[in-house]
Amino acid sequence: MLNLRNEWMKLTRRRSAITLLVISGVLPLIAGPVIKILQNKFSFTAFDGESFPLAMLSLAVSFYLPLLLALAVSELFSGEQEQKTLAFLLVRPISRMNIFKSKMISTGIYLLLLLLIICITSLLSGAIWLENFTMQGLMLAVASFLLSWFPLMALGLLFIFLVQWIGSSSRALTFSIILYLALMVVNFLFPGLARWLPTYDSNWYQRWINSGLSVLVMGRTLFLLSWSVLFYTLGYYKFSRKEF
Amino acid sequence: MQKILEIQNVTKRYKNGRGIESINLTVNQGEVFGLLGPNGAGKTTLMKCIVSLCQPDSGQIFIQGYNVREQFEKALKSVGTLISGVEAIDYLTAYENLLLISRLYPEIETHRIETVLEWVGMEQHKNEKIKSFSTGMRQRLYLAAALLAKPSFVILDEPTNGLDIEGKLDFQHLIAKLAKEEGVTFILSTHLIDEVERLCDRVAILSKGKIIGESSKNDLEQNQTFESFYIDCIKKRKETG
Repeated sequence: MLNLRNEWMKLTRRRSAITLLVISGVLPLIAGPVIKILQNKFSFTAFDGESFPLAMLSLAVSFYLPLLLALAVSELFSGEQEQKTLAFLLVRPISRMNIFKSKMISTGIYLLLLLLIICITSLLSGAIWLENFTMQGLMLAVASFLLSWFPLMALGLLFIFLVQWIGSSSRALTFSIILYLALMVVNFLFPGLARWLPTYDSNWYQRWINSGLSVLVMGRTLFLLSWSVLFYTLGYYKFSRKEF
Repeated sequence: MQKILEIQNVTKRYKNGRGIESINLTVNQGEVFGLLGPNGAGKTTLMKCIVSLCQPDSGQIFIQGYNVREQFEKALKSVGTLISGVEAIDYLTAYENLLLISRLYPEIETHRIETVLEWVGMEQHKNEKIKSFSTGMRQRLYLAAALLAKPSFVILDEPTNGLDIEGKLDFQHLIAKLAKEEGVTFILSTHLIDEVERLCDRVAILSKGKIIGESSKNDLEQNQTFESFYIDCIKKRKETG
């Protein structure tokens, strides 16, 4: 795709994106020894080498990664509109569909990279500092991190759709965070309603660990796919009609 | 003569009432066409409609025979653009900004970037991030971006805004050279009459969103210049309300 390298370059050359990638890698490296010290001091075992990466993943998918996703989306869409740089490529022989698609794919690759960095550093930290690090745990962790990409991307597509109405990156980010918090509140307070939201699948990997490829997992997969297609289409519709 | 740009009855109105109304224009191959008008006349709106940054309420625009709305990529394939208010990415260098554009033209080799930067006198700044650039330096970069893909048709919206005298002269020299030696067609919007006198073969006068006059250099009466033609058109417009 012609524009994918451009969008990837724009996304990863931002200082904030690089800083957050580094922080994503450093946090698990610090968490490992801290947990070891605490466990030794208080003589208990909350996490071992096998469960530590999954604990880091649970934290990341619940709080950290949605925030980073919202940041990337708001900068790629609203931020570029605000700085009037979006039109810099729109006046070249490339369709808006192509530009929209390459921005979305870049967001997906960035998310996957964040997941992989957290996965690798969590595994390293767990292997070095904590006991009971097994090959089975390693495989389980890698699979869980990869599976988590899917519901997060569905959430990202919701963000992409909604920021099309916002012409400022800071407002788009604030709105996305508030929206995410609201979705999380719905998750806790109205579990029946929560099933219609992608945040219901935050711990998506746990469904796979618990029940494998079951009817429930297949149903949720179909739901997330439909959600993604719906908001991709609506997002593109709005993007294609933007005027500058 | 082959029509490069054909604008048919294009109207675009904004909510505040400004915009353009029933514009009909043709730019022929090899011409340097000037779109002249005071600030707020609708020049940038028309330019934005040509490159689909905004959609006309009615009417159609063709570039090299392709309908811009329906065949955008084909229509823009050999078109260079510099639109007022469109910015490059300020955390990238001048070279990187042009690299982004060059990737959209598979037939363009990266050494072309050096060539166009040299044309606009920016080769020594190619590795600087553009957030440190002055308005004039940015304008030179945007001109380089417009010329990068070896275009046969170039759309320039207020291209000398922010340029110093030397920059303006360099720019005029470059446009004249490309038009004469390489047969590049230009449409140039400006409110600077001296620029039009020096560069343009034909002009249209835009005022309050409407074309109020159109003339080529050959059609001007004896001793008439584009400047006096412009003044006559504006006077007539005021008289007719």
